[in-house]
Amino acid sequence: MSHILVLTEHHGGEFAEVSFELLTEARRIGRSQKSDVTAMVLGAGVTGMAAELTGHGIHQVLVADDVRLTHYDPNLWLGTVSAVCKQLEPDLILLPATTTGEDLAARLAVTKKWPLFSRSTKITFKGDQIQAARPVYAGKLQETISSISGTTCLATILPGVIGVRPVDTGGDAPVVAIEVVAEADGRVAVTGFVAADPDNLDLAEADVIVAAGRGLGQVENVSLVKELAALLGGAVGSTRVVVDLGWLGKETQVGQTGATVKPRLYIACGISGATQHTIGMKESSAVIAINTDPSAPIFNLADLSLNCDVAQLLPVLIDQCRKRVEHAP
Amino acid sequence: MTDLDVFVCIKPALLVEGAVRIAGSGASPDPSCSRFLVDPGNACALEAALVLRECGQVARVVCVSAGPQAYDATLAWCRAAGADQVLRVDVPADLNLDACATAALLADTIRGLGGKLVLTAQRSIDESNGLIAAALAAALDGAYLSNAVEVQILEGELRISRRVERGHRQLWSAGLPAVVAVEHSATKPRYVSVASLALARLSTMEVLTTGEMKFDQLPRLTELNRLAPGRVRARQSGMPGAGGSAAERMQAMMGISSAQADGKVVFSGEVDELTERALTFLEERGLLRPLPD
Repeated sequence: MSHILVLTEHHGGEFAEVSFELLTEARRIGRSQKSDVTAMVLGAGVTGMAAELTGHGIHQVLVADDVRLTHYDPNLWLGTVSAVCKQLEPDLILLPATTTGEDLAARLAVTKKWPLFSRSTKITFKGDQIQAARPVYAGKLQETISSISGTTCLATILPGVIGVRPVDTGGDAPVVAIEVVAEADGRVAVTGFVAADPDNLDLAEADVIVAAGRGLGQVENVSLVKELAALLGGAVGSTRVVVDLGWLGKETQVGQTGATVKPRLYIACGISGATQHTIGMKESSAVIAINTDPSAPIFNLADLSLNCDVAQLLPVLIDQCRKRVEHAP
Repeated sequence: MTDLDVFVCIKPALLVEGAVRIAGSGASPDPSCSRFLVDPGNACALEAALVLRECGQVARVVCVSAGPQAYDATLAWCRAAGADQVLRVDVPADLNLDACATAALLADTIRGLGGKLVLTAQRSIDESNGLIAAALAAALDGAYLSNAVEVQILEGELRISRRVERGHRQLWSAGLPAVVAVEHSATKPRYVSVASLALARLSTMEVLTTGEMKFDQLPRLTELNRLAPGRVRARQSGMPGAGGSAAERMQAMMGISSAQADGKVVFSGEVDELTERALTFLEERGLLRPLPD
């Protein structure tokens, strides 16, 4: 195998963690198969960001920096990645299993007639043949699939499965600018982008959830939770007690009789951590718990446990968050 | 009045229950531990199609499936939900076609019936690889629109609102023919009564043969090497020791021992100090940018 191409993903000027997971997997395969790893960054104003990848033990970073790439456009993404593939002839392309990564992977697969290993958890080799393992039937079974022909293979990797491992090779990969190429036969027109409304953000789609519990003390303090959620670009969650008190709507309820969520960050404000609630949020990637009771069960799940009155902490935290948000470029 | 029909591709989901065993073919779970059910993603795609018909944007809803006779129960559910016509392309159960081959079969049928608008599920719950819609669009020489949460046809143009990460939406449009992959969370499928389901089951199912298309000539890109039970993760629990109160022993059995007992640090102190810890935590995870020096 000679080349592995990694398509990175970024949001708000930061690489998504799955990008580093893809690089981790690509480096592992690169070492075992003696292959070069190329990372690809597409977006507007991303040249500076791309430098962050140069020390990740890869061969080169290709950057398509163009205002037309501000949001995902299948015609531009497909055209640009296809042009790079024509030049590099990669044996394996790794993409994140996100809406962008999966859409692009499917388009590449059908236009190039390349096999796609969707939502893979591991890439392995049987001789020169690339194989991928992926969970099926709700994770009760695992299938191993391989390409019938010896062409380029595409694999999407679910965020949070592989994990990020520290770079042991270092290096100083060059950043190479590439041209944006529009697909000649683009059939889809991108007509608009609607930013998420924090007030109506679906809990299941939120990256950050700030959840209110009875420990907030009074209904007036719910506005603090809403304010923090808005600053962090997240959604407002709640416990059943808060919904029963009428402080927040049923659509915000997390837990056994509410939504089951898996955000990147869950901030539990004045929530004790009853099983009925934690069953709906225990899969969160990171949890900050704020509670006055040092033995509250929520602290078992928390990555950061803060023992204090949430009504006193939130105004200070909001003030500091606002300063950082206002200073962000 | 439109004469456009919307085709909905239907695939029942296979639910694996109890102790997992693999069928003799090695390609699927053993029937003794698995059963078909209506896939929620497919049900959402059908619901989106029914809404289009109710809004007068399409004339009829036609459900198409490629599979064995066991798929008929799901197609009967589709008819009971309101589909005008249901069709099954007969495919032997042990054939294990990949997405490209299945798409080729479906495209052949849909093209033959003059279909220009097709809805599919973005992904079925039994973890299909999500490639059918794109492969179908390519086979029909049409546009592929993914992750749709809203679908409309206005003045002959297809318009969708598309889910992207972090709750944002993208608006896409395309001409026909087109294939739209509908998100699982897009709509809430309507209730199907037992009576209407019983009635639908009594009606004769329309079964098509593959005609001149031979299974061994279908395009395939991948093959299944091995299907095995998933990795079982050891549950982190144990019998509690003799020490501690009854409440603590009960909590330990339920896996909710106290944070301090687990050696976790619970920070307490001044509000400013705790705020600083929270800010550092958010910055380390890339959720906040540090203040410039």
